[in-house]
Amino acid sequence: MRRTAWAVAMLASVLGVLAWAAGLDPRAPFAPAQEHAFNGTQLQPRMGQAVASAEGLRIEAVGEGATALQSIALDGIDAAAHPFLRYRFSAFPQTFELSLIFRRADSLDEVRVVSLPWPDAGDSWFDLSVVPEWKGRIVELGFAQFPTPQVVAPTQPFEPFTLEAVALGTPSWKGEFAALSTDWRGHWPWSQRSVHALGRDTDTPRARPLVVCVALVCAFAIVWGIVLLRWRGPRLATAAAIAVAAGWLLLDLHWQAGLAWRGQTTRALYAGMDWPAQETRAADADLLAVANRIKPALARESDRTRILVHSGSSYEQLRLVYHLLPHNVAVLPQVIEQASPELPAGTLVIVYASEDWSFDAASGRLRGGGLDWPATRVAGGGNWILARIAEGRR
Amino acid sequence: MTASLLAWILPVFAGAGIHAAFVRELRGPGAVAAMLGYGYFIGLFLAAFLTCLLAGTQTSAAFARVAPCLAVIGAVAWSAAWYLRSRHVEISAARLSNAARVVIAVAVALVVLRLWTLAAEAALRPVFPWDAWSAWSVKPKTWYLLDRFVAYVDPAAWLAAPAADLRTSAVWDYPELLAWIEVWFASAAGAWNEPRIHLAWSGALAALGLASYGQWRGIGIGAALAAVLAWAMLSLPLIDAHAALAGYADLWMAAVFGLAVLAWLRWIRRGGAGQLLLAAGFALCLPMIKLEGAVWLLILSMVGVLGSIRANLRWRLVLGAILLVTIAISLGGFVFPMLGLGWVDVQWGEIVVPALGVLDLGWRPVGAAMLTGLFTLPNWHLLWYLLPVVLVWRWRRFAEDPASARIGTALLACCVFLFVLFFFTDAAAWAENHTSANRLVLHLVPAIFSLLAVLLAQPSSAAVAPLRDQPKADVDPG
Repeated sequence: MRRTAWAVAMLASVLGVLAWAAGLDPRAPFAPAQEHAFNGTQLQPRMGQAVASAEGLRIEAVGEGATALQSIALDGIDAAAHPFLRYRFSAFPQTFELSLIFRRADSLDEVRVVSLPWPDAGDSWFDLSVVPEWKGRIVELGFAQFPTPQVVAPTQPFEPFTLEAVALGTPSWKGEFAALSTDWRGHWPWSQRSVHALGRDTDTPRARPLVVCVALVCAFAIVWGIVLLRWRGPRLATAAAIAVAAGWLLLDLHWQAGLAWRGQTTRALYAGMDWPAQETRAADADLLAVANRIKPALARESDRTRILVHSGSSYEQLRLVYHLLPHNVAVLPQVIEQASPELPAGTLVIVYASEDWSFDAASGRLRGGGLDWPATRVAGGGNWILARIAEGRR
Repeated sequence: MTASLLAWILPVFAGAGIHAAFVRELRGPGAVAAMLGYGYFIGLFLAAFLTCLLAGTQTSAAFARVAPCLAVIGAVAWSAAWYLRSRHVEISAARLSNAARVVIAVAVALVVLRLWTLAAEAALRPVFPWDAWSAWSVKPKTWYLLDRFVAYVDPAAWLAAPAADLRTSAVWDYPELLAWIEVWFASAAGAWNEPRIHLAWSGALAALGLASYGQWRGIGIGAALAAVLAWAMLSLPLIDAHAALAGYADLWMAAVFGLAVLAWLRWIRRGGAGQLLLAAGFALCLPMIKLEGAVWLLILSMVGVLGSIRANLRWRLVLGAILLVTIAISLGGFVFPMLGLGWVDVQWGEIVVPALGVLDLGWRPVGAAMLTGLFTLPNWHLLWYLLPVVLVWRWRRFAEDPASARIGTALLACCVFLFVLFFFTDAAAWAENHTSANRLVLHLVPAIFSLLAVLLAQPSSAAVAPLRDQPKADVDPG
């Protein structure tokens, strides 16, 4: 009898924790009372190429910025009344990320973007009520797909996939639990942040964390055991150990599944290649290519020649420095900040993708960022220049 | 390929031999696991030291020059270990229960699956995380591809001497132990082959698990509990991420700090000068891995010294030190040297650390961000939910068991340091944006597992009393 009571209490606790995690509204019906559903073929390709197929809209090529985008014009759907997004893709590449895009009637010029969980097989759900921008009247809805930032090079070969269906629905128990399931099961890729903190980006809308729910269920199991089964002493210790171990194992299997999924992505990018080829498949393959174009010009220099790199972003600067090693290369802004803007004659400066920097051949000056040096051009390409600082006034 | 394989085998051979010679225990519960785990780190640190010493003028020849030395050192160490081996180890014939066998088998299977998954990721991936390529791999890549060592200096010194053979970077003053390990593996691979080099991180994780299991068994913790704790530690997502996305120094910091604490713990529990030497050696390596290592070394040293003196004198010393610091700050501050960090200047409301800059002291409300990182993000499984429960449940062990008390004190001091760092200095930003905060916490995690191990294990006189006080060594069969 007591064991039955414990089992019933546990069942109620688990359901209660799930309901809390899903943000369940007890007044909502089981299924959406109203749903605006669209077949994939009703969306129009805005970037990239797509064709209608029996399954839906087949995206066959990406467009500018290696991005594909499809959308549908809507007749002003009430956002607050329809917070549950349901979407279904087939063969969505593991090397791609997915975002929802939408426009509101009150700000037609502004395209709003929400990062979505990677779409596994079957329907995926997302609770848009946690997105502050999801309000007013929605007049356009669509999806953008692009290579996973920081992980996949934009030049990675594209694999076609199909957008099968999309729907916006009113609140329901089904939608709330399905959105929780999508959030917890949703895979997220490695990112630069992964060595600091794991999970999807902290500024991305999400459900309540799985780890908190598992901890709560473990606590309920122990508390109900103490109250209903009168666990005490060694029996309590054993039962608590089993509960914690089971919770830990559950979290670990979830983590292992994510690791396996990320491993598949890594294999898709790098497997079957030797080292130099692997390096060319990294996300910054374009910067490696630039570095390889600069290196022949540097080959004529002494390995003591100081080389300073400037670019529009610190990522590009540091990656170029890394790719140009073992040349005597450093980051220009760091050196200027920590040492001096007075560069010795003979110092080489590489400027990459910096619109506010220029080399004036007529006057022999390298200018940018409020700095101005006498210089001679050594080499250059489409968006980079290699100049040598000359004697003379800065 | 053979060289790459030998680059793994030779350090473990030499390191395990040195470990065996130090601890003089070739048999006994967990002895082989501890030997292999500690041996990996000892051997690689030795390889790094020898690479720096013998191959600084031709880094591409590091493997050719250092490998024979490691083979000779290993042979000598194993001979010494065999000659010095203890003949007093008694292994009980008590058998494991079937349930314990199942638990151990499942834990081992899960650990092997995890290590395989992580190594498979690391073995394919070019160096990925930001600081790995912008900071930690800059020096070794330069030294290896340039085929010689060049000194890194601050940007002002670099710019002021344009003809000198110098380099600079934003992290020119970072310690270089890991850099030489990377050169060692690059030399064996015959190229700056990032996946091959960074597989060493997966090795470090495996070695941490082996060493922890071995030492836990050595202090009398049952095989099932030791296996489950080893799995739990290696299952932590943030630790795993540092092996899969290799290149940061934090996994090594965590492992070396954890192994220093483990050897110290075993010395407290069962004596043996070898364990104390291991603890001191690993603690001294901390500042050679990362700047924060100086702080962990200072804390371990202080707690170690204070723990070895009589209680009444200890408290007088602590109170006297607090009084002295208070007076010194009220009189305008004081300076003291810290290995790896330089002369630290402590004043009211401000600490100046040459390697880190000026730290303005003042309350920063980052509690929510810290709690999020520890309790809600998928970084630590249930660790931070479990730890306070165990501490409250087993708090009496701190009074009964000197080992628990000292490790607990050391970890408490480390936590106080992190609390001050994140809640009272500009490092609060690291907690706010979920960057370095979790990585610094990571340093303490293997040692926290050792604390959990001694708290959770069933108390037994054999486990608590030092070996030197017992006529017959009694090893828990587990």
